[in-house]
Amino acid sequence: MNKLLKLGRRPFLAAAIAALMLLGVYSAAVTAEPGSDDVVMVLNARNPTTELSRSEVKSLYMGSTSFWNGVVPVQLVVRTPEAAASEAFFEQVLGLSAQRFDGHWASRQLSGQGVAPVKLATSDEVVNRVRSSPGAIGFVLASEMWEVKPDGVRVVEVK
Amino acid sequence: MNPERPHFFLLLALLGTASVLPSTALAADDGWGDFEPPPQKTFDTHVYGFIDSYAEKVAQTPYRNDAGETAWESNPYEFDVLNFNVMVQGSVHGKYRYFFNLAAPGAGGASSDQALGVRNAWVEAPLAGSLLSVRAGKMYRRFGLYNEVLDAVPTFIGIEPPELFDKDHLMLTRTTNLMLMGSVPVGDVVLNYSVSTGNDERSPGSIPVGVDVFVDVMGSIKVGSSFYTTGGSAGPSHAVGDGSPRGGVANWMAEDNYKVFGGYAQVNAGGFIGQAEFWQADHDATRDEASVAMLADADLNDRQLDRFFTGGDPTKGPAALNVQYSVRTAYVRAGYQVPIGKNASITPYGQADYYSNPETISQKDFGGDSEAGISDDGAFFKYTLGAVIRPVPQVALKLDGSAHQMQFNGETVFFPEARVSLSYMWQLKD
Repeated sequence: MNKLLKLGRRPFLAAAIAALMLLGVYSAAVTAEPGSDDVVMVLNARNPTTELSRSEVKSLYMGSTSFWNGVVPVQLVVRTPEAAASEAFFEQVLGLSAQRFDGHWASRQLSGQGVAPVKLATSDEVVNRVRSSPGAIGFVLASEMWEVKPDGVRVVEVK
Repeated sequence: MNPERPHFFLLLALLGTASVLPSTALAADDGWGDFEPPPQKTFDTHVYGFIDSYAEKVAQTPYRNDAGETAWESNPYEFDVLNFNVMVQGSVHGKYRYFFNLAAPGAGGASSDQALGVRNAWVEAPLAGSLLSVRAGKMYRRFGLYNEVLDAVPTFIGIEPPELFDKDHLMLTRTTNLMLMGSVPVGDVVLNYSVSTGNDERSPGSIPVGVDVFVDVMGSIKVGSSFYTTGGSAGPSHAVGDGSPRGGVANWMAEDNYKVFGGYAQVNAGGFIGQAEFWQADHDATRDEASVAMLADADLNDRQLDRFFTGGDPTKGPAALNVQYSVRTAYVRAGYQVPIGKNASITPYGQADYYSNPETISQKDFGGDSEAGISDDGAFFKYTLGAVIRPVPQVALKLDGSAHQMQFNGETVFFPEARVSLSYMWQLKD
């Protein structure tokens, strides 16, 4: 206990030790790169983006990047929890649970840092939404794209 | 216009000029070509909010009895509606953002509830896409991990307010009035920055400035630092006897020139979240003699009597009026969210806080607090364990308990408290 008290009186040291511990836990928790072949991103056809890395998708969906090329506001579209694409996207691409994603956006919305993404049930709804909004981005399973009209949208794989 | 603050108004003039520049000027070279957004609704509005009901029981707190021994007194249960918030967020022509937040803090009191207050009311305009935006109105400044989100998340994230922004001993004001901010992506890293100023606690002629810089790595790691200076002298928000101050200036000060600095880090990996922050406030203050005299009735301990009065005796007048002192706080926190089915989750978490303020006293009415103020040396540790249960995303039940550890009457004492809160987040259909 006395050691703890002494550490508390050296808060710089305590904070440095805590930061190192957090980084250690993080590196132990990060798992191998998962595959993301099943999920494809859907962009508006006027969006010139032709490639998206997993980190870019994550940055967009966590709200860290809120403009395309610093210009056009990003509008996020996600799927309802029942959709198979939803589970694949959160686990394979974002690397977190749908619940954690909801909590993240609840915090952002309640502090005025953005509005939580629109939730749509079907791939048709996703494509229609993206088609009508130049800054929109959504996701579907690759197999679902066979069932929708791709006019006005661009399909981009997650690299 | 106040001619004593030419810098402030020069800044406003520059911002006004910049705000009329076309923010889509960067579009020509980035592949969007002659991009012109389709007609959008003039107003895109979202109305939502939350209710946060709360109950707390502090088991017993220590006091020194007439014999000079440590004794314990019981405390009543506290019930409250910590937050009843109505929020509106939206944009004008898809470009200019606005947000306001009406709150009724303490709405659970039958005789002490407060009037509806405006916590935030601001508009935001991009000056250069995501590189630079300006936000004006009343807003929480960017400072550390929690200032902007603190009201919204006690239950949803499951954190006790960090001591930096504990309302009984704030280290600086939470709100400001003008903020420039932006971000630059560099590979997997996004660099975020902001500069803010406002009314804060400033005296005429002072220009307080807050700065925050952090890097965000793919939403998984956040590391940053914040700085605040009163930019000259600042005065107290409350007089002795009027309750806790709304900023970093103690109630008994005539003036105070202080700086706050520190750093923070957050790691997200899967369901794991880890956080750490450290803050220090360096004060160069002048006490108000009449206000210090009133502290004779504030039930000071021996160290506090020595600090405020000559020889520790209130009848001999105040000790030195000019004081320099530092307030320090740090915390570490870890939690793990366990998904249950498609919608539900449970998040157990633990947190350890440290806070030290040699200038504080115990009586809240006088501007002190009932934590650091009752300890022998103005310092305490607080250990918290708890869990947040979310049966659906819109509802959160938080159960947690804390133990304070401090030096009191020459010995190390612990005293526990338990809390339960239930939050419901609502939203009108868009």
